[in-house]
Parts: sequence; C-alpha cells; structure tokens
Amino acid sequence: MSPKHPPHLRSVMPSRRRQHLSRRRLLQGLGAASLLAPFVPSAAIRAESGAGAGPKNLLLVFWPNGLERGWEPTGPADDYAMSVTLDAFSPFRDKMVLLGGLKGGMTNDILAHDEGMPCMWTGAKGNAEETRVSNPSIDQVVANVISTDTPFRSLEFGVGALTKPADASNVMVFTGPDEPLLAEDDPNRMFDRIFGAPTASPEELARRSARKKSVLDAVGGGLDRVRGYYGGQERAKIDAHLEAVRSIEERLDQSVDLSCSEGYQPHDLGDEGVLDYAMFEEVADLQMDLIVRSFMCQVTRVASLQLTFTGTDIRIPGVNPDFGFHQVMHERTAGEKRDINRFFVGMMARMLERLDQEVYMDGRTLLDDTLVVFGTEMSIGNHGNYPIPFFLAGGGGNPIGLGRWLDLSDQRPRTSRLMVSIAHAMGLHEMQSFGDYSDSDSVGPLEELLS
Amino acid sequence: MSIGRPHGAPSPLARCLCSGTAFWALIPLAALVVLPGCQDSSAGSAAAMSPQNEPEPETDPDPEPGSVAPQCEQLGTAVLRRLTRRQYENSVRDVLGVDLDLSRALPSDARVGAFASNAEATVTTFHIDKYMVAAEQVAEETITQIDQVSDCNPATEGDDECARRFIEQIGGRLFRRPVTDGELASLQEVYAVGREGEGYNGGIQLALEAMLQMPEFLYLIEEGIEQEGIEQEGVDSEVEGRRLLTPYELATRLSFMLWNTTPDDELLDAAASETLATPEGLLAQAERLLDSPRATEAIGSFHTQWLGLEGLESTAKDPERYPGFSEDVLAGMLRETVDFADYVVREAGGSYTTLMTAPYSFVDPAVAPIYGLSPSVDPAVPTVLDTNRRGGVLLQASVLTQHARYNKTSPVLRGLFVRRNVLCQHLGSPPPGLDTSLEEPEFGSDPVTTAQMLEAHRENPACAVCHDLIDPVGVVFEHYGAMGEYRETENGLTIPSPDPLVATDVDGPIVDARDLVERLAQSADAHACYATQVFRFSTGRSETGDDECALEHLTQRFEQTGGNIRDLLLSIVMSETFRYRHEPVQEEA
Repeated sequence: MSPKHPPHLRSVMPSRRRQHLSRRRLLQGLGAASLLAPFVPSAAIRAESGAGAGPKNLLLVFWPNGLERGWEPTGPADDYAMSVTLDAFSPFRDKMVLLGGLKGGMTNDILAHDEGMPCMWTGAKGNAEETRVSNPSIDQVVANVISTDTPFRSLEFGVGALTKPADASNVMVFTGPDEPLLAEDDPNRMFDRIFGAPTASPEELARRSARKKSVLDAVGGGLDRVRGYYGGQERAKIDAHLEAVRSIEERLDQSVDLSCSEGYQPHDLGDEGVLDYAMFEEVADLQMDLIVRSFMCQVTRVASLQLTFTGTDIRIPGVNPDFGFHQVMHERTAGEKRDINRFFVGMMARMLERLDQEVYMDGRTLLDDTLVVFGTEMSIGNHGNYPIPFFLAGGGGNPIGLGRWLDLSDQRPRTSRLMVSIAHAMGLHEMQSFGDYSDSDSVGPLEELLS
Repeated sequence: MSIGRPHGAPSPLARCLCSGTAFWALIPLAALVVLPGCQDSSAGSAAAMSPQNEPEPETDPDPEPGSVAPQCEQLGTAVLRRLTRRQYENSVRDVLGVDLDLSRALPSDARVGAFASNAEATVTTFHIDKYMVAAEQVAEETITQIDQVSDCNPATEGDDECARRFIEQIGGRLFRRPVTDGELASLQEVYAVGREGEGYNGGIQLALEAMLQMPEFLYLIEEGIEQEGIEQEGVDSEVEGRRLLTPYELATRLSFMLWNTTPDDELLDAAASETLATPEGLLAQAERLLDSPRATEAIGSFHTQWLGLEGLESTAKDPERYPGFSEDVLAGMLRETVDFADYVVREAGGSYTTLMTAPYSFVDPAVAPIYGLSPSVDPAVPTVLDTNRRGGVLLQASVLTQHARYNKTSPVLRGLFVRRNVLCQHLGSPPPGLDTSLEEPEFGSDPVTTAQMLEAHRENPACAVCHDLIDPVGVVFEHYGAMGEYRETENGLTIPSPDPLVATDVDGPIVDARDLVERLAQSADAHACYATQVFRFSTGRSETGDDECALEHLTQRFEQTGGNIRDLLLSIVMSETFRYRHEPVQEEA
C-alpha cells in the first residue's frame, strides 16, 4: 500500500455529542465502589445508565499469519468439541463465539502480506499492487460514536508491532482513508501517554496543562501560517495535523481519574526489553493490564491490541526457537505450526482472563461489558483468503449470542459482514455495509451472530 | 503478472522542452578515476552500454548560465515531507549539541516505496503525543548544558532580552531560516508561560519544546516564490503551478538529501547571501556537501534502503550451521556495504559499473572469514577479493545474507530482489486459487537442493508464469550460502548451472553470479532503475507520469556520463524538480 493520493480530509467524525461525565459523579462512583473492590467506577456509573444494554467497550485483537490446517472445533454449534489449537479458550467458551468460514477482503484467493492487515478491519478491497483504504476501520467508526466523552477516542496497543517502519504490513487501524493509526509497543510510554503523572497534585497538573496548552497554541499558530502555502493533498496533511492538535487540546480539558491507575505504572523495560522477543509475554501482559486499566478508568471505550505484524518471522524462546514464525507456517511440520498458534491463542486467552477478573458489584465482569474481537489477516499461513478465523468474546450475550461455534462455510460471508455485526452490537444499528464491497456476500450483519 | 518497462524509464512519449540543459551544463563530465592497485572494471564499459530505441541525448552546447529556462513542461507534484527519525535526531544534535537516541520516542517512519519518507503519512494524535514527549526530552537535556547554545547572561542582559536572542538564534537554526516576527511573538508568549513559576530556564525550555513541535521544524516547509514571466515557447499554462524555492528552502532540501540533517552555518550563509540562488552557487554547495565525509550517512542510507538491507542487523541465523554468527558479523557486513558505496560514489569516480562489479571491498575483520580472508584485514582500506567469486555490491555478504533465510538460501527472495530493486521490474500478484506453499520434504527422505525444491514451481503452470522469471535469477546465487559464504556444493549435492537470463535488456546465457552482475552493470534498464531509485530517495516520493521528462533527462545524462553516480546526484540537485516546487494550480478553497 502506498497511498499516492491522500484524499482531502474528510469529515469522518460525526458531530460530537458531549455528554460530559462530571468529575463529581465520577468521584461519587469511585467512593461507593472503592469500599468493595479496588476499582469499580464503571460499574457504579453504569448502574445508572442501565446495565446489560449491550457492550460498552470494544477491543480488537490481532494475531499474525493465520492458523494451521485443522484449527477448527468439531461438532454441533452449541455443543462443540474444542480443537487442540484453541484449547486455551476452553475456560471462556460460554462467553465466546468461534467463527469459521469467513472470506477476507482480498481480491485474489491468495494475498500478499501487504494486503491482509489494511483490509481486515476496514472492509477494503485488498490488492497486491496497492491496497487503498477508503474509510476508517470499524473500531474508529464505533469510537466516533461511543468514545467521544472520554479523554482518548481510542488507544492502540502493540507488542512488537512496529519493529520496522510503518507500512502496509504492520498497520491495521485507520482514522480515515489511507490514514493509519500506529500502535505503541512500549507499555511504559503508553502509561505515560494515558495517565501522565498519577502522583501529581491538582495544582501541578493544572500548571502542566497550561504549559502544554501554550505549546499547542504556538504549534497551531504555525500550522495556520504554513497552511496557506499549500493546496490540495498537501494542505490536507496540515489540516490533519491541526485536527490532531485540537483533539489533544480537548483532551487536556478532560479529567482523568488518576487514582485509578495507581500501582499500575509498568517498569521501564528499556528499548531493548520492548524489542526482545524473549520478553514477548511480559510486554504483552503489561499492555493487557493497561487495556484493562484504560477501560476501568474510562479513559477510552475503544482499544486495539496488535500482536506483531503480518509475515513476522519472530522466534519465541520455548515456542519456536529454531525457525521463525513465518518460516514455520510455510514449511515446517503441522506440530510446529500448532505449537506457535497455541502460543498466540494462549496470549488471547490471557486477555480474556484479565477482563473477566474485574468483577463489578452485581457480579458482572469487565468482559461482560466489553466486546472483544480476535482476528488475523489470512487463513492457514499460506496466504489464503478463505477461511479466515475470527473469534468474538464478551459483551454479555446481548446482542451477540455466546457459547457457540459458528461454521459459516456454507455461505462464505465476507468479513465486512462481521464488521457490520460489530457495529450493530455496539449500537450503530443503521449500518448495512462497510468498506468497498457491496455484493450480497458482503452486506448486512451476520444474522446467525445477532441472536 | 506482467513485467513492464522499469518505472520511470525514459519514454519516447515524454514531452520535453528542448530549450536547453542550462544547469547541467555546469557539471563537468567527471573522469573515471581508476583505483590505484585495483583494476577498475568500469573502464570502457560505458561504450558497451547501448540503449536501444532511445533518442540521442540532448546536447545543447552552451546555454546561458543562470538561465532558469524550463526543460520540462511537466513536473511531478512536490510533496510536503515530515522529518524522519534520523533527520530529527541529527538536527537536534547539530543545532543543540544534544545527542540522544530518540528512535523509540519519535513516531516510526513511513515508507514510500523502498525508502523511509514521511511524505504520505498523516499526523494523528499518536504523533502529537510522541512529538510532545520527544520535545520534552530534548529540551530538558538542552537546559542542562544551556551555556553551549546560548551566550546570553540573563543576570546582566535581562531575561526577556536573552529569551528573544535564544528564540532568534535557535529558532533560526531549527526552522532553517530566520524566525519571523509572528513566530517570535508566539514563542515569546510560550516563554512567558514557562517562566512563570520556573524562571528564565523554565521559560527557555518551554519555548524550545514549542519550536521542536512546530511545523516549521517538523516539516520541510516550502512556500516558494511565485514565478511570473516564465514565457517559453511551447510552455502551456501548467507551468503556472511552479514556484521557485527560496534559497533557504533550497538549502534545506540540499542538506537533507546529501547529509540527512539540517543545513550547517555555511549553507545557511549561502542562502542568506542568495549565492545559493545562482546555479554556480548551488553547484558549489552541492559539491561541498558531497565531498564532505558527512555525506557518508546519506549515501549509506540510500544504498542500504535500495538494497533492502533495513533490518539486517537484527537478522538471526542458525547457530548450529553458523557457529561464528554474531551481531558483530552483521554490523560488519552493513559497515562494509556503506563504506564501499561511499568510496565508490565519493572517491572512486562513482560509476554504477564500479558499484556493481568492483573487485574490492572494505572487508571487516568479523566478516573476513566469510570471504575466506584472514581477520587481520584492515577495514579502512580496500581489500582485493577473489574475482572468480566476488565483485560488486550484490555479491557482498550483507546483500546475500539479507536475501536468504535462517538456515538456508532463498532463490525466490534473491530473484525477486534483483528484478524489483535492481531492474525496477514490477511483478504482479499470483493468480487466484493458487496454493503457494511448497511441498514439505519428508523428514528423513533423500536430501534435495534448494534449487530442486523450487522445481515444483515449474511443474505448475500457474506458478511457473512468475517463478520462471524469479527463480532462475535467484538460482544463479546458489553458490553463496545463507551468510554469503561461497560453497562448491550444497550439502554435498551439485548446484545446478544457471539458466539463460530472460526478460531483461541483457538476455542470454550466463556462467555464474559474477557473469550476472557484469551483465547487470551493462544493462540500460538497471542504470535507469538506479537513477529512478535515487530520484525517489531525493524527492521522498514515487515518480508519476508528470516526472517522465525529468527522469528522461536524468537517465540520459546518467548514461552519457558512463553511469557516474556523483554526477547523477548533482544533476538531481540542479534539476527543475529539485529547484522548484510544483503543485497543480488549485482553486481557492
């Protein structure tokens, strides 16, 4: 993908409905909750807004290189036998839907590595020559509706996601046409970005905010000045920069409940640590903790976790020490393929475990409030377009019915329909199609899912 | 799948104004320097290079010096570029004396084609957050050594006076031109906010943070000067969108292209005195930059990216097969290629043929065993290699190691590399419905060579349509293992002899890899590809149809000079593409 024609900044953001949660209410919620559990502000507040009305948070999780042949569960939808590959999901099977038989957004049955990731959450029509993304990814579309009253519209977490320059093989979230949002691989930096300085006094925080605002004023002034030098596509870049600056300015006006993050500052792994695959699990754990904190502290309602990138050839000690992941998927034994896929499924199960450990007063968990979608960019490591495995979890069973293995291979619906279903589950009921496809395989929600 | 003409190769359809080669005429055709003690295989090769069906190069004898006569009716649209990580790091090092590794603090670079360029990546809140943190880090570090960048004493000269001077001095360097009154006023406001509560240093620090986040620093801003009166016969209205870069903007382009960093004082002085606005002045500065050792970084950066060597340093190899493998070996390989390219371009006369075939290299002691040499080699001087096995950059350990796998070679990767990077051929995607996985050999079955495993590609016509082009070129390199080591056999098995070269402009039977690189060194397509790659690197963008004329001039000139790389770089600097910013005429929004 090399977007040659960045489009004019399109207004992808619906008018902002500002339902500002007052700090007083937030603190009230905290006060009542803190007697019972470490952090339960969301549950307390949600009791007012009506629990069980559907998921409140959306989390997308990416893992690379598909799965190996024979990953599918067997047996009937409601009483299936878990496969060896997916075994780590067993404790959560009642809160999950496993999907089979989906078709990806690539034009060929075979895709190049540089097509899968930009396609998978955007419904774009992949093309080996040049994949163009013409709309925001589904998480951003949802965020623009449900996450407008939080300090961050969305947060993008990565583990080894950007160990090389950003290109079509390591970006998946898009804010607009051909405008990727990059993942942050360093938990320590991510914490700083979200929570800043949790121990600072209100006066100190106000002072910092004033300093940042004065800097942003100057930056905005500069952008206004140089904007006039350019037209068309180049001016659109300046406009996007301005828009981002304004968005940060707004965030500075919003209060983050910093106490909620206390004790969660990840230790600094150093640049080497973040890049060291021997530390993969540790880095992933820290990022997953931060995702949980971000939802609990209501700093955002939409997040994504990108585990490496397509075609990654990582070798993880104790899993695939001898051959890189990509090489294993191409030419090693079925057992070796399964081992590394089981490792990634295990990482995903740990994400679910963490979300499910946060229990609200009414016994519901953060997982029940969060729709988690696990996806990969290809089918069985040989660049196939079909079937692409996707798994859903959480959301409390409304409106996505849980506890099922749904094999859709008789219809082969396109993943765009899953994206439409996600939108419906998150309250965007009007959406009928998403992305570049408008054929019958690609339009409308997956009825089987929403039941 | 189709293999077309190289992207941007000269086309007879390119519309050119034949009014002269004003700027280029200033560049003397560099004589090829023969390396003492080494036979330079480039001698005489220029004659062998015979482009087919190409128009004779323009030889307008004596254009008026200083003329800005347009050469091309059309120019590609210039893009707004944001600094890469290295450019940011280098700039703060040169201006503030702060040498920090900001590679993790700054947002990662996007690529345009093979090259890191932030020309097409849109800034999001993610970037703003990153730039904010990086600026804080740099400003904090600067304040600890403020005496090095500011000689103003607030105690005697007053806080506000010192702040003004700081903003003007440092801002002038960071923005690569004098600070305007509007910018000064705006930064003084920031200074005032910072000063409140934290005193003078706090104010300076905050003003510096702001400068580092302002577009005047982060982007290569190009306002340009509107051109009136370019009235040349045959020029239509499209030339209206052409703006001449200001001397400061030209200095900035020049410095980032040849030094990968911000302009130095001498270059800014040349901009201030407007000598840079004259062809002689521009050429003199370009030559000064190119002749300085500081050009090594940019030359190394171009060649490592062109050769796909990004990430080489973190490549892993099978420790059982390669017990001598270490990060030092990889670092040595990379250093060798960078030093070699730098030497070829800046000292050895700079021909493409030399780059592709030179019988010497700058062998690192850690890499010496791979070449069958003693580790006592001196990496600082050229070492003559066994010319039966080595010669030119493609047969260096770095390239052969990078385009290979963990414990074995990959003719597919190597073949693709040659066709895409060296010949600029465009290979399309596999046809629908194809399983691209190769049959895994049974464990314990009779060993086969890597080349034999590829035969499955030929048996299936759907695979063969591409792989008949890719694999044979890669198989030519099968005498070089996964770390570039020469081998007579592969695990005792005979390595097949190469098939004839097809689908290039230098087709025919080839004997071995040495033969192949000699052949590529004479290929007009490979020359045009190299010129196109340098063009992409220099402009931070891919060429478009509107660049055809400019690229035709460049490639013609490149051929005319016998593939002189130094001349190619200077020609780009003197070209209209470089001296102007072209943007289609916009309707006012």
